[in-house]
Amino acid sequence: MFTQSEFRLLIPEEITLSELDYALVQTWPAGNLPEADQWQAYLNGLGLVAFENWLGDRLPEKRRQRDLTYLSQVAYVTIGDFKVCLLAQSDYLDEQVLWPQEYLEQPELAAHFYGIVEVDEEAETVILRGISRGDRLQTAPKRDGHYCLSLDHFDAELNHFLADCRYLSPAAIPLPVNVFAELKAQVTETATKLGNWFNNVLDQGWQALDQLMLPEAQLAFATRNLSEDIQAGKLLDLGLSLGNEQVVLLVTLAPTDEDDKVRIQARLLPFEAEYLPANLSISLKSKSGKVLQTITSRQQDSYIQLKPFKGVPGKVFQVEVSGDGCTVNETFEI
Amino acid sequence: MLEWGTQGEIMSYPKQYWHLYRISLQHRQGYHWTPLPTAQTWLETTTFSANTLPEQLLQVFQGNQGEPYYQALAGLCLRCYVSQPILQSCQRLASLFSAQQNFSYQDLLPLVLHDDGQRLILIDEATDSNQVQLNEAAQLSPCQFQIFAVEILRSYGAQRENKLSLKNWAFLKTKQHPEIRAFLAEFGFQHLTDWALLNRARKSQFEQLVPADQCLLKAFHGVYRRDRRQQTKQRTKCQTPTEAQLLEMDAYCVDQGYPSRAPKLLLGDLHRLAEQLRQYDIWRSRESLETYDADSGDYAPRRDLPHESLDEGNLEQRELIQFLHNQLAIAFDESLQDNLKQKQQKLAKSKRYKPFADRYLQGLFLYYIEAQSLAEIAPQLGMSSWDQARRILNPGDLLNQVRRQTTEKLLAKLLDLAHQKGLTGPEPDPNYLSSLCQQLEQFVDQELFTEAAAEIRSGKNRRFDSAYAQKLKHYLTNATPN
Repeated sequence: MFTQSEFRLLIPEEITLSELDYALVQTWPAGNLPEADQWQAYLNGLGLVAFENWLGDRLPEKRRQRDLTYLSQVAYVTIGDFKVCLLAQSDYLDEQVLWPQEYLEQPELAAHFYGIVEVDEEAETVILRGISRGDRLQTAPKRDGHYCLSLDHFDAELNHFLADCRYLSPAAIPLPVNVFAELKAQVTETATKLGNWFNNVLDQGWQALDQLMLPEAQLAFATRNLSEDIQAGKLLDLGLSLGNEQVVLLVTLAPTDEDDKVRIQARLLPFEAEYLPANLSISLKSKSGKVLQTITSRQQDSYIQLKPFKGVPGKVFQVEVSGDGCTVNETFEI
Repeated sequence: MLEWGTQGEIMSYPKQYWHLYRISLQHRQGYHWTPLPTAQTWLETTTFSANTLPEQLLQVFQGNQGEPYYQALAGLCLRCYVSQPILQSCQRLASLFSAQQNFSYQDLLPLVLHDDGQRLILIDEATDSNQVQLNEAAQLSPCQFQIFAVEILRSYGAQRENKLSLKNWAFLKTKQHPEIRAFLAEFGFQHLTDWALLNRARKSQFEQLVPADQCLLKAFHGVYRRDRRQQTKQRTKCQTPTEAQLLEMDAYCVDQGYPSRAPKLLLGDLHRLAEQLRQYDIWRSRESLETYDADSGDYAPRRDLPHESLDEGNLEQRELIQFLHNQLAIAFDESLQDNLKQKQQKLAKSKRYKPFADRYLQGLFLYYIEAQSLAEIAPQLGMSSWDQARRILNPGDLLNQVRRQTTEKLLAKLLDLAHQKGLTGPEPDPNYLSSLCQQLEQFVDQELFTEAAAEIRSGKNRRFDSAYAQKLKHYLTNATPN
């Protein structure tokens, strides 16, 4: 929260509007909105024009661009690479601002800076009451779809804003991200990168065959088909219900004739037993979780495996191993 | 917060608990931050922790245990403490009633900042004023005149749920003070006609009206605002609604189920509605000033910005201050001359104000050197009104620009220096930049600009002898042919 300097209390940041400014704002369409919205759009428009003029005098070297899409609620102007969202009122005597939530939260609408302006339409003056960095407003209380902000949330010392524009880069002020996109990115982060296997780089938990120490008997079911194949295995712990039995998920990669496509085979082997437990299944699932194939073990299977499949680099898929109430999921990126 | 006293021992209590903001006409700002030795001496004998000082002082003051003398002294310290929010509340009110010609915060001070700190006061609700005075002979006598600061303390103690901090309670009580409200009702919107006032009423005012008045206001807005927006000819101030407009408004009200009113009657009702809107109460906030702290689930006083300290040890701090002093003089001088030139150029480029471009310096001369008001200057320079004189000469804006440019120059130099010393990379961290800006501002305001601003806003007591004004006067004397 900001404490206003005595100077600012005495001398606010005031801008005079000209006839041209009014004429310009009159040309901006407000559509078929009800009167209250039209008036708000008018005030926002006047505030925007005044702010643009003000910016033009102080940061003349920075490119400016306005956005009137939401004018009945807020006005946008981009200065250099910084996006500013403005809200106009005819007075701030109650020292409060209710800001519709979406303008602070939705990634497409979020701005680096939020500014409040006081528009005296009759006296032809606009006072810049304050500007705040967006990330500083995020912790304010919310009610009925609005952020309940007070005047003190905004810095009345506009020179700070000018300094920020001059010396900082947009990356310095974090904008809200699309949460779903972030989650997606995280999922891909933890995927096993099969692409690296061709460079002999294995993710943690995966080991080359000779390091897995498979008993002789299983080796027979594990050897590679061709010399260009890459193979690696991971020990999966299927939990108590199966008597702490471990199985090995063996993945074999082979190049194909078709462009970049990689041929993948996934096989499940018992680790220190002769046979796999019964009713153990291995499934191939798409990135979104759709099951593409499932194979289930019977009483005395030495191994089970998925039908080989092909994919291009970048493709993400999942292999799920489940049995007796326990499930292990492995995500891969080709 | 630590400082060395005259006897060389450390005084550990913040100044705000033993310095009182008092009205002072000798001072440009209209007030003076006066030390009270009695309060200071007593405070030093206590073993209070600086963190919870208000609470501890309140306990003593309201305690009714121990010596009345010490109670009264605790009260004195608290009166010092609340004098700041009282002052700031007045300054804030004046700044929000933005038409600066109506009143300055100095007009409000006598109503609420009348404590001179010379008397020891205790609370006694058996008396009319709720206050009694303690004299040297330790006798109590009822106070004729109620000191507002003490009343703040009394009412704070009386409220059950102390959700607000004492500071914010003081803010609130000042805004609610009956004489402040009366003053604002008379002068707050004095410059606005009923029509301008009606025009700017917002949702929060609307919600406080009875349904019939809500309909009337809505009718007014629907017609009046629409017509103002679509004005194509020369823009005018808010005029009395025309008969055609009144008929249209009436039609809307009838549509909403209200009886029809002839234009004259409707006009009367609108005047009555505007009267309601002249009351400050309908504009001010009903909400708490505290911010709700989601972490603690409680209301907490305002927190400050994250602060990163500039200093690296006293020696470097002193060097820095010296550096700033040297640079300030240069930067200020350059900025002042630049801005005087730029102002004239801007006037010359404007269609409306071109004829006044060569009278700009003369106007400033009359303002600063002959201490004339803008209203007095206007006719001498052929300006149509106070309003026009203000737009053309605008000493406040000149000051603002000079301050901005001075600060920008200094900031650039400081960032350079910080970069050289390895304190920051080529692009400063946002919080570091914030901190630097704030400290720089405090410095330049203290040296030059706050005084200069107070001069302009002092209203009737015109006197321009701040460092800023002296420099400006020097330049004006040498520049104008007079």
